[in-house]
Amino acid sequence: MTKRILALVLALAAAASGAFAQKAEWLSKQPMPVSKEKVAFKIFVPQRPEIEDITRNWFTSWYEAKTNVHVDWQLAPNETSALRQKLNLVIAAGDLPDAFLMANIDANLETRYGVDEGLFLPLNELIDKHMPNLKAYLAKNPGVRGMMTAIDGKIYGLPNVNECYHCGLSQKMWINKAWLDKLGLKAPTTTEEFYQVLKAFKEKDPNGNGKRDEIALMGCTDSWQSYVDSFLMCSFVLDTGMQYSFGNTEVRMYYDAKTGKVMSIYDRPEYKEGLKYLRRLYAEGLIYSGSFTQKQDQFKQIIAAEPGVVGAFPNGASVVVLDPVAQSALYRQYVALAPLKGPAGLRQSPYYYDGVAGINRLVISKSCKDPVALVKWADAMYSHEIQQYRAWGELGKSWRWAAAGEKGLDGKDAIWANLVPYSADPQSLNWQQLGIEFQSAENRFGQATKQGVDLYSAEGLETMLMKATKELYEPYAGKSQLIVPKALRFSTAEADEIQTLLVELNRYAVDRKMAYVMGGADIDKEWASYVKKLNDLGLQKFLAIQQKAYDRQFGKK
Amino acid sequence: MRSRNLYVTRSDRALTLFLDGFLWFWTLVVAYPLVYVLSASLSSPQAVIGGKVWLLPVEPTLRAYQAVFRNKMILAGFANSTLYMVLGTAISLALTVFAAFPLSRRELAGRKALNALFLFTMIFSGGMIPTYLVVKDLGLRNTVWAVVLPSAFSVWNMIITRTYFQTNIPDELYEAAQLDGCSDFRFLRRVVLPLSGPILAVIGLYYAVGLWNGYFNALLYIDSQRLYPLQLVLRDILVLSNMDMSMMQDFSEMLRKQGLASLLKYAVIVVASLPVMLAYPFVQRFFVKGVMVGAMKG
Repeated sequence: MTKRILALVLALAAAASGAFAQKAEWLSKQPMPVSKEKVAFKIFVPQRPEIEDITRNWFTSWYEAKTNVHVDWQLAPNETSALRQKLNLVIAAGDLPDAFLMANIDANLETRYGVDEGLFLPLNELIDKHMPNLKAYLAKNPGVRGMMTAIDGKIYGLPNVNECYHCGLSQKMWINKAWLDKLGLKAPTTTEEFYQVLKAFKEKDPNGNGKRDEIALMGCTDSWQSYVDSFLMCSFVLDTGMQYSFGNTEVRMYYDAKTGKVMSIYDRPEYKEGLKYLRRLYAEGLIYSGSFTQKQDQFKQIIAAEPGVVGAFPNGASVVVLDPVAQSALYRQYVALAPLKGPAGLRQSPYYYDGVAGINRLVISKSCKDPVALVKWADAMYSHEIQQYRAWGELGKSWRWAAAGEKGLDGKDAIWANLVPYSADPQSLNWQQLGIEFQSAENRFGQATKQGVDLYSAEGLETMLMKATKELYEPYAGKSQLIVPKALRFSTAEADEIQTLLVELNRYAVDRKMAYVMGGADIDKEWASYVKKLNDLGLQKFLAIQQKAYDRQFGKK
Repeated sequence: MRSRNLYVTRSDRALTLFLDGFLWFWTLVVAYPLVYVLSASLSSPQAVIGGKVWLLPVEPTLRAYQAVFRNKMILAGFANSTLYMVLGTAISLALTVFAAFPLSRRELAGRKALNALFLFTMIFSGGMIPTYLVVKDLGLRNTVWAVVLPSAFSVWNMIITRTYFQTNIPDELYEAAQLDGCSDFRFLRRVVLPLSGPILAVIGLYYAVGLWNGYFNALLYIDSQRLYPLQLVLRDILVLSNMDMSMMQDFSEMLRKQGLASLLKYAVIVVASLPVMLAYPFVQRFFVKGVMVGAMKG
């Protein structure tokens, strides 16, 4: 009955907008209800602050009525370390729920609990037999299956899909357009031009307060993609920056598409050239000296200082640093800058193609009595239709299908429109980010958006990021040098070995980098011994393990 | 009272001046964060993010407090924490007194061995997982008791109480009571407890503060939001402001969360610490007397 009404509504809406074909594709292929008898599952889930009470939420009851599946929620804290603690405890005590949702089960835990201890249920067959929606998505996105696969070739977790277009090319630089205009400069396109611009910023008092208080370029250590060196290094050799190393130690690597080799940047001659370029900027005072040590809080405060003292800063988005409402005037000064062409002609931005799918969003435990019903329950969430109900709520109340003439974020016909006004309070209308997300690009771009919106206002944020990404970064998405996906799986022995090597390598490489840039050592004199020391510390061994893991997971079989 | 005739040497005066200055400095250092939190909770979130607040509220507003009191999770957490604190303190105090009193009497058989047994648990414990299993098998999981029972008894507090009883309730008093035909329970109720106000207040405060600030038992044993104590709710709200940026996908979502976190952060700290702060002055006068007297003589 519900289905019929839904179909009717859909037909009406589709007739109105003339986009029926698109919407038919939006419907779930999973027959409902998933079970004739009412079934109950115990699911472990972190408690989300944006949801008032999961047991009394509109979507909870709607979905229960629709699927005939009742969920007993076993709540865990949302904060990462506490969540991990409770997860480990529940598993160690043998007190397994039927499934873990959003339990932050990373590749290492998957290997330990799934592969080594056999506590998780392999899902390969269940996906093929009972999950038509997910199957359709995997058929369209062949790379995702590889990311879901554990080291033993089995799949233990269902993915979370969030195709955030601008996050795929998040290594962005923001440059002060007001200063460029004032000094009559164009946006730089090469590393040499960038150097000239920074020099002008530093010397010509672009903020006009008569003081030489300008900081040409500044980064920090823990914001989003804001290492001061990564964006510039990409003009020499691919530096994937901090997308995958937030707060962690790392060895910066890339995958060479021509040779099929996993490489470290640390021992490349191109890296040496890059460091010399950074040294030149630093020696002339163009890079703020605190960039290698300061945290996001200080970074934000310096950028926020009136009347604006920073010429350029790297970040995934300027909104992370400046508030488009409260700091509107400053926020408007910064525009995205395309990747720069290096001396050898390289002009690239790392494309984080694996960001679309998070791993192990839902993991089913060995003790689940009716896994078929549970995967069916999960499968419906891999359709746009259920997704709209899950993320937004009731049709007609929280969202509606788009009317004729409404346009989406990308300027094409919109598919749906939001009816809930912005609020920071916890709510009971929908699940927001709880559950399995299926935010595909169609879904994101299909949201009706005010056209011709002011790009540098809060409403224009998504449009501005999309345009910047499309026009300035997508043309330069790295092709010869690729990222190494973060979902690489290692055996327990390999993981242990990597961990030991990683700490030493990271410490030495970072220490030398700072010395070469800040002038504590001469890179030309030291280079040979530096590379030798890296190898002594096990760089090649480290890369060999990575290579093995990469080939195992993504290599052609 | 200052006597004019008293001769104060120069070095004395210098020392006093220095000590005064030092204490004032220290007071400022301690007081500043408190004042800052209070001011920040009364300022607009934009001013706080922009770093404009440093001592007094900027663009004063009560929005944060409105948001706190509109947030049902926080209110429920507040109610739960109050329940845990009252119930838990009562249980803990009873257990502590019932253990400390017999152990303070010399004529208790096997007193040394019992004491040793108690001390043993201060150094060794079963560990997290066995404790979890015990709680689970007793059927306490996801009930109020899982929060108040597992750590109801503190050996440390019991030892302080025992020492207090030993030094402040003379054996002669006990003998006199016995001669008059007073039972042990009656002696405890009519003589010991009335004489032990300070120590009960102090130990009670220890337990109450511990329960109010505690989240670990709830974290391990509570699965349902309706039983979450305030601290657990706060933890989840406050950590929103330092999110893992690499996990971030959606900016409107991020702004919403940062807005929520920065709006609530300071007001929530004030609200959460107020009950304990209010209780402190009333118990404080017992503090020095209560704990130190026992400690010095024991």
